[in-house]
Amino acid sequence: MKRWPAVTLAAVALAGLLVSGSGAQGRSPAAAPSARAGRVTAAEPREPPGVAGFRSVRTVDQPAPPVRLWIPAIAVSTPLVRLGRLPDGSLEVPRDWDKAGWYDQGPRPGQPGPAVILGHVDSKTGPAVFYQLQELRPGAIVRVGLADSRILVFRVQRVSRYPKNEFPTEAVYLPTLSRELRLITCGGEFDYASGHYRDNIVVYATLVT
Amino acid sequence: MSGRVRVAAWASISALVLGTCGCAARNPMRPDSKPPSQPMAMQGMQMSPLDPKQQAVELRTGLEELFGQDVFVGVRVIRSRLRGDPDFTQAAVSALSRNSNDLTTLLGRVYGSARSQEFRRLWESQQEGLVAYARADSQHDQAAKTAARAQLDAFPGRIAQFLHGLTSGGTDAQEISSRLRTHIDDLLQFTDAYTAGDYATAYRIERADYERQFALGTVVAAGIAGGKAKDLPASFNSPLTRLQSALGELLGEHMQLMVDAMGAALRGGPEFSADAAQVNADTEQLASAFGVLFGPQSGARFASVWGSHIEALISYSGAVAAKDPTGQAKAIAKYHAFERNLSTFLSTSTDGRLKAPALAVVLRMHDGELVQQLDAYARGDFVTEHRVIYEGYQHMFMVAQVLAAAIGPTIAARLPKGGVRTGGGGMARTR
Repeated sequence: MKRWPAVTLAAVALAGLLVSGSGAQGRSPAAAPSARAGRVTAAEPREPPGVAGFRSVRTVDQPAPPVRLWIPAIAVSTPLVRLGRLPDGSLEVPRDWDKAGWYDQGPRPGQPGPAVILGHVDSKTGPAVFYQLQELRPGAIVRVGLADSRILVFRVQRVSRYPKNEFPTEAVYLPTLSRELRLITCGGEFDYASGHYRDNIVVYATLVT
Repeated sequence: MSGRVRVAAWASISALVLGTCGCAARNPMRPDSKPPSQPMAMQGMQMSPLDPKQQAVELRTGLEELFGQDVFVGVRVIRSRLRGDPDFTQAAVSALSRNSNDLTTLLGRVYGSARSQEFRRLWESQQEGLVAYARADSQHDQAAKTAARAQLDAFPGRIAQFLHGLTSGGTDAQEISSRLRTHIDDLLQFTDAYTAGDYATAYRIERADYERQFALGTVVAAGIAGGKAKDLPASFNSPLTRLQSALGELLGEHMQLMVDAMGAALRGGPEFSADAAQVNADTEQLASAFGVLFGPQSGARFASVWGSHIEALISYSGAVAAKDPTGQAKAIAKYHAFERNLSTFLSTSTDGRLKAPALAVVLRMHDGELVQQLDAYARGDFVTEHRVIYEGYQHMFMVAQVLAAAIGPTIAARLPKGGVRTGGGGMARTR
């Protein structure tokens, strides 16, 4: 905090340096524009039509929430449930082995950034909704149905496997502003002591339409 | 004030925005990150060698910036040809030449001056073909248009082959050729639409072409940095680099679209609504980005504050056209309020990583540049106008670098932790 006065002064000094002799900041507004302004402006000074009525966009449209997922290459067709976070900061997982879920505190599918969809690879007794997820290959198509009946199409770019204790949080979750999808499930060896798989499978896909 | 001093001042301000300890230097996602540097083009003028592996991010963001800039500057040359304004054309051609020079210099930092000059010859020949087409269009000379089109057809393949050789196979000739062909088609369609008075189509094409050429910069940089083996350094596509790139694309586009819209507001006429629609489209994307980064309410707040800045500058342009000093003063007061509001918003959003007072100064510089270019345009000083636009666009990429350096760690601290437990183990023995 102690450095602020000096920082502010330096910033203002630099700003003064930058705007000297230019723009509106360094002079009386009444002086603008110069005497030669008639070269471009209309012969009869008046505000051009449409300018006074201009309004910048002030709202942000959000896509409808996702409600269904289809992955034809591995015969997946599942409703999507909403998922939040567990107390330890990790992602909540679907309660139902046969349903996938989407992380509702991150980007929605179709928004800039990586939308995250999770599903179990297996239950305690048999295959679950993402049992064949790791068999997906680049180029495979993934469709996400939204609550407004729109269907978004994503294309798989790559499939990666990470040890859970080295999970690349930023690579998977950090918003990059590209419209992307992450499909996540478990993989690798099952650790019977902990009752969990050691790895995660992450499918990276990008929006096509 | 010289461009070099101006850039140095911007770099200093950028460092101040992040505080003297510097978010970039502490960024856990980019251990090798350095404080914001000068824009690529200015660095390129010094011809210091560039190592495409070690400086892959600089290469990527530089090529994206310059290939994107080529679209807007090229369109200004074409538009002035169609309007028949020789003074404006001359200044726009100089700006286009500066862009080609900066592109050449950047490539020269990797491959040496002689090879990069070969690129320049090809690149400028393509640009000459586009201008020839516009000239023919303005003169309703169908034969000359056809000849220009035929001349242009050769360049995508030649440039793509040259880049393929330059990068020892790092860039895919077919892909580059296809992208350049689309670029030429875009600009020819822009020319035809503009000539026909279909400004909505013309400016929609301009923006789409910018996005495509920006992506060309990414592809060429990947070819250079990754080589034939496609062995890209991790920093090239890291989340932080991609965030910086995306913010740079949108902010650079904002600068250019505002220039177009403010000029149209000054001149009056039917172009304004088409320009304004593209400004709004860019704002929607920016606001959507902030909504994703910080939550929907923050996105709406950003849109509101950012919108006040845009409306103030459009009002300023209208007031200049109307020779209305009171209107100008009101507009200036409005955009000064925006500078305070947005800097506070961004500082709060990044948990204080961005320093509001210094950020307000940076925003004032941005507003100052937009006003300065308009004033220069109004008095017919097109050389100053194009210089300010050129540098103002570069500055947006510095702002993007600063924002990404602060936003990245802010968001990273809020991300879900670790992997997920999505298996019961029932099929573990059979997998």
